[in-house]
Amino acid sequence: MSSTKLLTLKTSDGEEFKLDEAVAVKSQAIKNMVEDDCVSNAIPLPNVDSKTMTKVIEYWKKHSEEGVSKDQLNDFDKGFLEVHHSVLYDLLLAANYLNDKELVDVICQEVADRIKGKTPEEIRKEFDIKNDFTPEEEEKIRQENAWAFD
Amino acid sequence: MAMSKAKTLPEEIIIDILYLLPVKSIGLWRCVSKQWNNFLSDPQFIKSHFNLHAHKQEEKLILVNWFRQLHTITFDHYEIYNEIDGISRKLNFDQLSDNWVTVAGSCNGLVLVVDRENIIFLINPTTLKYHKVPVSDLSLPLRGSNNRRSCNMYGLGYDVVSDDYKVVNLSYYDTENYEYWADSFVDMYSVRKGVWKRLETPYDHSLTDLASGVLINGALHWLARRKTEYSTLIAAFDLTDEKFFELPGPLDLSNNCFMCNLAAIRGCLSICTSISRDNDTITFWMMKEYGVKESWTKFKITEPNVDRSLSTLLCSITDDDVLFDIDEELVVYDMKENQRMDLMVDVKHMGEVQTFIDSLISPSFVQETEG
Repeated sequence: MSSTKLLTLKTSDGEEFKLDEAVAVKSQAIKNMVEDDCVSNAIPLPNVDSKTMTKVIEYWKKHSEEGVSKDQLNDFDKGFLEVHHSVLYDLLLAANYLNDKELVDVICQEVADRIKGKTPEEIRKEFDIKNDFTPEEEEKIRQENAWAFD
Repeated sequence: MAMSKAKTLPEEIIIDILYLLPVKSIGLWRCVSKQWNNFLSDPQFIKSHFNLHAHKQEEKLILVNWFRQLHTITFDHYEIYNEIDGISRKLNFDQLSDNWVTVAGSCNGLVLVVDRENIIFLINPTTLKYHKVPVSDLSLPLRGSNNRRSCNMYGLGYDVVSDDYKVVNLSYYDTENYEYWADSFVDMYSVRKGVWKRLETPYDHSLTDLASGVLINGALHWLARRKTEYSTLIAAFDLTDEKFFELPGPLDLSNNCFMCNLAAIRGCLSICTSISRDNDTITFWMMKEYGVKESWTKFKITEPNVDRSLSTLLCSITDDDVLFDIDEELVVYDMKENQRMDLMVDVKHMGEVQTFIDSLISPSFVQETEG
């Protein structure tokens, strides 16, 4: 069994988190740094705040626990994702930055489930996308995709 | 009110999310902007999205009713006593009138439908797009010489090697006076190429009931006979090789047991058989391992005084339920509870019943964009 080496992670707001290396390497980004041997001091994570890091570590720890059944993990994930959408997006950005594909996939599915009923106008507002259709073009596209609107 | 943080998500993450959205949501996203419309209409995206969702999709039914309209049926999951509720929806296609005769095949969310003038259409019941299959020069006229009526059977499948949807048409002139066999013709239409071509079959397809090809493992299956023998066999048409091959039937078929119709049950080739001494039983077999004779597994359903000549095995709906057409009524059997259930639905079907899943796949050949 590998040594229980502790890593220190420093978030954007200056808070430090100590974490088992074995858990922290769920982040491919941190894993790369460990392998490149640049972890003597605290690992800076300027793109993640402490609030979000706390949540991420909560997820990592649960998914590193021994003797947890698949059902228990599913229940945990469900509760874990029951957060306000701004928290969810922060988590998603952090998981992407930390390069934890499993967490990114889980959060993406939750986001997809939440936005699936949104109309084009709601989508544009949510994701700040400019409507570059002319009124005629927009009418045409809506006609072609009328089946999606019922 | 804080602005949504979603706008800070990198594009590749948004794309990851889009792949997880159901088909209807993709239609909504196409209306958001030109960039997203282009991306979400690209055949590459459509194919990848389909592959991601195909295995977790709910099957729906599609059929033609007595008013020659096309209807889909989705199932209400709440089962009361011996009933399953089906919610029917009429499909309306741009510039097409309700003059349908039967559905005749289903693949990847595309359905083959035949109209009263024997014109066949490839439709997507979800996006309501359709492609009129051109009439083949090779197709048999309604009546041939000797005034014999022509008969047609169809099948629809996908050739993964050439990324092409193919329609197969088996045809022959109806034999009257019990002549023991007639010439059968096999024609195949490639959606990608837009043309029909005639192929060969070593079998006689004229002495079995008219039925659409059952799609399993990239091949279309029909019951057929050898030209000089009386027994039925399972003929499989490989959509890539464009050739027929034969599959072994169940081990236990004896003289008193006949193969009646083929179906796909939970992805396995299945046969409904008729054993003449069983008056209260419907027997069907599932080939659990494709091509392996020993893997044929027998199932029995008790149905008092059933007229097996009027029973057709149709499809599976869930992991436990199997759908039958018994004397023109749709009947569901819960195989786990060994219980018959009536499908409560307000449409009376004409012709066949097929299952399909939601998809964005286009029924027409769309040239892929470069790069």
